[in-house]
Amino acid sequence: MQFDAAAQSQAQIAGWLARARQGDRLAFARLVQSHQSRVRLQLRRLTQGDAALADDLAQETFVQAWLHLNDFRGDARLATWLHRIALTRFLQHVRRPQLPLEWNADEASEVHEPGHDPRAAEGLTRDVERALQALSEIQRLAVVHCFHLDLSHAEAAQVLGLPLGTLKSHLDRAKSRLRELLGAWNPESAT
Amino acid sequence: MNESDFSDDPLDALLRASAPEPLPDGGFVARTMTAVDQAERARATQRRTTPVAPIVIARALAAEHRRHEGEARLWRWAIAGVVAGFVLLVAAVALSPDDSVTIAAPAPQQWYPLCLLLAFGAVWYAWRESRRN
Repeated sequence: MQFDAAAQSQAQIAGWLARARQGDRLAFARLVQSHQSRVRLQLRRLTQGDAALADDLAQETFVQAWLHLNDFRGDARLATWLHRIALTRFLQHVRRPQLPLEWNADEASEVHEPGHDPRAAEGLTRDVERALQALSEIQRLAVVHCFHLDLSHAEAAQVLGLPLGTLKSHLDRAKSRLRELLGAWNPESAT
Repeated sequence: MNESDFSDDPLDALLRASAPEPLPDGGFVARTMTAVDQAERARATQRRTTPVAPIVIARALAAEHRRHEGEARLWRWAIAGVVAGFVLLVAAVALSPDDSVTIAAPAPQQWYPLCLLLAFGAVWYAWRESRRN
């Protein structure tokens, strides 16, 4: 996936970050511009497609980031830090201390309503979206963070607050299930 | 993504290909920067506000307590004065040797000076309280 941020060199982002830390709002606006899509997409996934709520939470995420910019140590990518803030903000909103490790997949398929994605009409996106609904919430989030938000396994584990081994375990189980559900697709055609 | 996270699994490629399109800005950045400005102003205001020292709070509470105690004492003396006057009245009537001392309600016009005095007193008390607050 080609996020705007992906097009920016890490050096450019580091430069904006350094200027933003000194109070340069224009530099921070550049950072918001380059990361807004991935943060909003993550929150849309978490809020089950509620675009307005996702944008509100994304806005609060960036405000929190601005207020605590000096707390960012730079150990991880800025995107990872922002995703972590976004997830924490979402959990505060729904008043849950953490993500449930398992969630009833039947319940999930009733609650989720695919179709908010503008590309839902496309066959691949639609079928993958439907297949994702058959997963537990944590499995779905693991897939989304690793494949849709383009985070490494370590970064996704950090964002979701899971040990790396646990994340990989969820991913393996999710992929096994998705392999069954997406059997009609010829995966080679997507490569 | 780390190199080690990449695999030649066709499902991985399929999942990456199904990722949603990036979202256009649509005014999000402008709205967010407005919210950032508001948050920054709120933080600056919070910094400017000097916190009240605990000793100042303690002194204010002690002064309020003394004022409250003074008013309570005044009320107690006032009630004691009324009760003492009533007891004195009853005693004077009871101890009167030839029944020359009686209790008789005065005519209404005789109450007017007292009413006027009480009205002035109430206005003065209200004025003093309003200046204190």
